[in-house]
Amino acid sequence: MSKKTIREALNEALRQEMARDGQVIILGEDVAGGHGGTGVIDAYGGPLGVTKGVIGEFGANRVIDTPISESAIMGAAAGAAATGLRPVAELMFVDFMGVCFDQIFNQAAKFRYMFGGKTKTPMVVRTTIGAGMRTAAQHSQCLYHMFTSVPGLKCVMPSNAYDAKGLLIEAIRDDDPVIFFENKLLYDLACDVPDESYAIPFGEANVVREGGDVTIVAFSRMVHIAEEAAKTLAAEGISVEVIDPRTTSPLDEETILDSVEKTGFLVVVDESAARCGMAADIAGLVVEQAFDALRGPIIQITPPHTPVPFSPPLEDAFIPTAGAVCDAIRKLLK
Amino acid sequence: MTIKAITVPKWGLSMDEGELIEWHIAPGDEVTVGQEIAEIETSKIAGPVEAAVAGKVRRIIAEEGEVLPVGALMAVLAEDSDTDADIDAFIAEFEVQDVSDDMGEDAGAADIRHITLGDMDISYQDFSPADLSPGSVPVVLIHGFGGDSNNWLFNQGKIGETHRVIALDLPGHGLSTKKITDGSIAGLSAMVAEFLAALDIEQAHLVGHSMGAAVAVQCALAGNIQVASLSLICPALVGRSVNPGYISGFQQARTRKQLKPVLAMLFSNAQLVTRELVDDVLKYKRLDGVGDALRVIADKGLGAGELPLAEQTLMMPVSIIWGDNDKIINGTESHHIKAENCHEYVIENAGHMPHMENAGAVNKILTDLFND
Repeated sequence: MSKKTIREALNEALRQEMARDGQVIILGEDVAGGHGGTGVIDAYGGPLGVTKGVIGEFGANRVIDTPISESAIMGAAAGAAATGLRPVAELMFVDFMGVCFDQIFNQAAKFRYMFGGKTKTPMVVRTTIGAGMRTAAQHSQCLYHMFTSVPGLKCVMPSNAYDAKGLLIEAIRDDDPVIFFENKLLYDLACDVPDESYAIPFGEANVVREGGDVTIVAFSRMVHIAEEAAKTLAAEGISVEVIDPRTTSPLDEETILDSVEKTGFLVVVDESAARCGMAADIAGLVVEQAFDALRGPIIQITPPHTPVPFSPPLEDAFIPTAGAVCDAIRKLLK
Repeated sequence: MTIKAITVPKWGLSMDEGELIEWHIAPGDEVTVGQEIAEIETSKIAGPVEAAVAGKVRRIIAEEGEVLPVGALMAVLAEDSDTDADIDAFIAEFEVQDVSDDMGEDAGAADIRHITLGDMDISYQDFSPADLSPGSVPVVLIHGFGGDSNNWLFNQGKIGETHRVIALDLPGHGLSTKKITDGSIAGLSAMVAEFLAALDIEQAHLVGHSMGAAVAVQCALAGNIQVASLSLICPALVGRSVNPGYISGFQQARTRKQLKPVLAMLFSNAQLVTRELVDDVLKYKRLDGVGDALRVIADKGLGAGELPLAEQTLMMPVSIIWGDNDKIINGTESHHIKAENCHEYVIENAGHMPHMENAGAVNKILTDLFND
């Protein structure tokens, strides 16, 4: 056991699964050092360095650089999965998924259903999400809510390095297409991560912090915003329970509902979207199934309904903050 | 000067801080040695702080809810004749000492060691007092099914005052190799003997908990090491049945919600099962190979027919320690242990983990036996 960053934890998960199972391959842009390159050991490791060094261990047959063609990456991964490989495709920004919706939404997500369960599609798509990197409107979105709404896809968004490793291993071993969302601002966040392999089951929320006065459900980096708010509020005598669902599909509804039954108040902190996002989805779930437990309105803390601004002050104002969460909860409990 | 410090105790090697949950004393109270004066919660478990010194409480330093490093000053005891100025000076000086005191994470981490036995990697915690008397026989702690060396959190420190104390992780457990080929009690006992031989230990006091006690008994019966004394805490022995609901529940639980009530069965006071304890066990159970290892042991080692049955009389001193509210191993039948010199103890307000729930009482029984 040692402290590892999310980047290191993901790299270790990939190496351990590739060592365990010869069917696991990686493909994407620059994952091996650039298309047409020799793929040396100190390869570039993808735009965010997650696959660094993997080609040195497993060779160019299993770590494949692709052309800059998102639809080709996803189509190749879906086809490879249908033939029995376990591809882990990397797409550097979720924002670019628009050009490969057919491969993901209409092909990979549908294979098992349309072939009557006679085929499996064990592919993983790793991609990055999140504002705060000054990368402007086309490289900063958090589109996990769109994938969550498509049946046949599993959606995973770790908030810490322990979860990142265990969830990626589970994703690779899963027989369905899994979209794995990595927040760009969390890559260097470290915590204790076992050196051994382990898998965290999907659909099991992590109760990050126990509390009795109000429930916060938060995703990916927003878990840390929620925790910061919970610490501030604890000093004021307000006890906050913070739930990190870890996967939005499948979703651990029970943990969320149990918590709201206990606290009576729900705040959802979600960077995905102000409209039709995960916050709205969780709010709908709780209104439908735990209405009698609610003692106040459900608060959705999301960015405004606008593209992510490039202006740094505006981008900072766009992302939900711990201050906003605290203010909302103080008002709610008054 | 009669001013004395009450400090945060160190419960085992892995503890470096604790949260003060509750004070049971107030300024003006008279405290006796061994009195439970506060409740502290660590990342593993909550437990009572027993006063190591006696006197009148003059100053409470630590506040409830505060997270304190091991060794931090919690309260000050003094006589009426000591002035407030003397006490202030004592506190000021203590804080300086505390900073220079090296009881940080590194000290504990350095004591987790590994040894290779064939294709197995065995992890163990090894601690010796600085003034270990020559010829002193080491104490070896063997945890139970699904446990690990951290179960001895509250015992290592006390035993370690006078003896070298080694707590190992059995294969399939803790930080040791998860792959396990022979999960029978005989197999585990042979592995413990091999482990001690690799450490050049010929003779040891064996302390076993639950399934670990069966392993210890098997070591004594097989005679593959010299057992100086045998301490059996809630032992899994022929005659007393192991709650099958616990064994299967522990193996099957995949979520916190499923695991918590299973772990609660271990304790008399279910409140002791903290969120962190449940998380730690879940993290262990998720490791590749653990599910298989537990199955191999449950099928083999804990099947009643596999538990050691003492045909021969054990010649070394034997202590058997039960909890009065054990929900895992209970019953009043004879335990089939034949020993020349055997004492049985029942610890009050303790479940299957008396060495955690009432560590003070268990530590006294153990150290009395070792020092006899």
